[in-house]
Amino acid sequence: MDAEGINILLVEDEPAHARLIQRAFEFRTGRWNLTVAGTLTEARAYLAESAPELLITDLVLPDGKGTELFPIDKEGCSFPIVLMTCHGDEQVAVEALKAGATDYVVKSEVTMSRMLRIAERALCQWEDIAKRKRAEKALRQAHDELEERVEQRTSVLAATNRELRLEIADRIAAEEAARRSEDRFTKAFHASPIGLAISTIDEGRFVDVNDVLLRTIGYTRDEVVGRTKARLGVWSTPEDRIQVVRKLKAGEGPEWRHDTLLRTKSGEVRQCVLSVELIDIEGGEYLLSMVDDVTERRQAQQALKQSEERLAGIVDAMIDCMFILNEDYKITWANEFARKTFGEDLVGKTCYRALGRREEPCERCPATMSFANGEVHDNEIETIGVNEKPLILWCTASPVARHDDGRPKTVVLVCRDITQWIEAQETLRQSERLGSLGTLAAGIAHEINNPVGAALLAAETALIVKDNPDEDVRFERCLNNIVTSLDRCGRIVRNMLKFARDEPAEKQPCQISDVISQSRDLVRAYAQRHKTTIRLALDRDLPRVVIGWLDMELVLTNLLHNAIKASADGGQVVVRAELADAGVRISIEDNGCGMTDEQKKHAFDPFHTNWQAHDGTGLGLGITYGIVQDHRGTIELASAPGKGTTMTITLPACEDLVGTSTGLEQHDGEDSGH
Amino acid sequence: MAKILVIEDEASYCDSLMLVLSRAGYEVRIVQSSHQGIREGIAHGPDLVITDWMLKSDLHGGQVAERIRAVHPRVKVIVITGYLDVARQVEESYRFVSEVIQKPFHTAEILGAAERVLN
Repeated sequence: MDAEGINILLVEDEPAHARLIQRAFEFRTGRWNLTVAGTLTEARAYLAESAPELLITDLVLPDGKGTELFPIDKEGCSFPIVLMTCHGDEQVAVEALKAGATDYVVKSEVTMSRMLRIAERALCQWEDIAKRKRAEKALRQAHDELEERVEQRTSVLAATNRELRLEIADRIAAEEAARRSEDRFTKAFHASPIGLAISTIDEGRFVDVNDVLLRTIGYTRDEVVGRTKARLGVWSTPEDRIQVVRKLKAGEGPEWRHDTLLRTKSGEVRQCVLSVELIDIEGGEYLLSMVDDVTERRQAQQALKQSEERLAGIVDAMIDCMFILNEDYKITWANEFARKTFGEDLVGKTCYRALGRREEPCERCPATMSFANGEVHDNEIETIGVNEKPLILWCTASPVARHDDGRPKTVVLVCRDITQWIEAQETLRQSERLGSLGTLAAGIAHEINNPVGAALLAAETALIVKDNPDEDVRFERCLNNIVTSLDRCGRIVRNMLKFARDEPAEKQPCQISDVISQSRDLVRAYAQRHKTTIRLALDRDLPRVVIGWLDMELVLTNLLHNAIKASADGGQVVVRAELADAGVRISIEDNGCGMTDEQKKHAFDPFHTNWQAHDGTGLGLGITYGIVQDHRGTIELASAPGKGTTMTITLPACEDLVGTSTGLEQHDGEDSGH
Repeated sequence: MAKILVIEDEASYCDSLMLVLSRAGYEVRIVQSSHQGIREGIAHGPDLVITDWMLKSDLHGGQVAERIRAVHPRVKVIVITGYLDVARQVEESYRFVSEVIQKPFHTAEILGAAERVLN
């Protein structure tokens, strides 16, 4: 074999075909060394010796198929193979190409005579394939190296990567947290019940505002965002903002709860509480302003404060003592006047100790009654003030706070100092007494004139009979008459002086019938002038009553006067005295004009009179009431307009029924006259 | 002899009046209540009634005398009284009363008045 030529193994069993193909290579002899094998066996023997540069083989051979020569490892094949097939074996050719053939030709004279070209093409193709294979190999090598390097690098990287992944996870978590926090901030920002604004520090340009703030200042979001505060003029006093920003910048911390005024779009000025803080948003520093609109709250507070001040003013201006008591009678609050009257340290003390200096509640304490039944009660309480002065208080207790079941928890106790009022009433009573003296003067004049006249007559009679021995008895009777009459004068005068000086009436057991008769006598002239008759219906054998004669006479003459005055001409006043449960009941009934409910309500008021002028005794029923009370009695009034009036006095019977003489002596004689 | 009816409920006066007027020669009756006075006056028809104004009943001296005079229109009347305003009432409503004598009085006053009225 020529080493310089290209060795070709041709496997062709048909010698004519072999020659035709040999001829195609001949005129290029030197370059091609063509070896012909007629069978597979010869071809295998050649191939076992050396590898050709090209194998051209017929498909159909005497001992098998040309394709059997194809190496099993397609890639491992070191030479190109051209398969020759007969016409109609194209399918086989395609299989052959797949099995590793480089090319195929359909056997014909033309193709065989042009085999050189086919061989050249196959070699060319093979060369391309070889190049590609080399390149692939180099590439594979390079790739392998790279792989190795990459693997090394990858293991390093993997470690780094793990660390990195952890870092990334952390970072993602942080970012998630940040995102959530930002979310939360956004939500909080818009849901906040107070106004919030984010603005730039230097310019005060609004970056965002929430709806609450927009409502407060009356702008829309578009009107606000991007504008500066100064431009909008929401700061009623721009210096405030400058001041605040300066402080924040100086690191003096957030500015909390700073009172400021904001101007709304409509020009209204709102009272706001402003807090300002620096916040960091996406790396930038901004001002977060928190604006709490307190205008209404302040107004309400102001109104409340004013109302409280007014109330406190009233309560402290009161000249009544005012306390709030809890159920233990402990004072929980006292007004200024109370502290002035009873000392500063009232709160915590019991009212009975603080006011009454007692160890237990006062006897007729209205607070006790109020706590018991939850109603308003009042009563007169005697006590001692801070300057050791005795005080008479008119105390009214009314429930303030209650338990669930309605029982009072606390009561307010209002105590009016009626000491002076009572003194004034006493003075008035005295002046009334003096006034009534004048009114009674006519009656008293009669009282005195009668015994004086009797004494005078008796004395003159005595002078007439003194020398007549037959008239001894008459003479003595005259002297006795004089003594009795003058004694009576003296008694009348003494009583009158006592009465005028308002000395406490001397009380003694009396027959009430005597006082009634005497009083009737005193008003008889008055009754006559009013053409009114007075009828007495007095039970005999009534128990005696302990009374101040003149006081009771005053009461009865007063009531009789009123009855007469109320009666029309021809009227009748009936005075009855009868046995009552534990004493004597005296009623004075007239058939006069009567009283309305309103008049009745005020009848016992101390300063009240139903008459235009004090033309009677001038004594109000109030004083009458006082005298009757002083006698431990009661007085009642029954009246209706047009139905007349009945006053009923009940006096307790005298406990000591033994001994003492009855009232004034002259009445014994008069009773016998009827 | 003129007949005088005295109506006076003050017992202490009755004794003296009886003595003084009797000694002056009058025929004197004394009663101590208004009703007795009316009864007595109507029954006997005195020449003169001397009556206290304020009697312990629903009638006063003027009313008592008025009733007597309703039967005996020529009866003269003298009123005695301890009250100060009786003269005015008499002046207004009881003009038949000849004299009003204010208590206290002397025996001479009542005697003088009786003499004047009856002559």
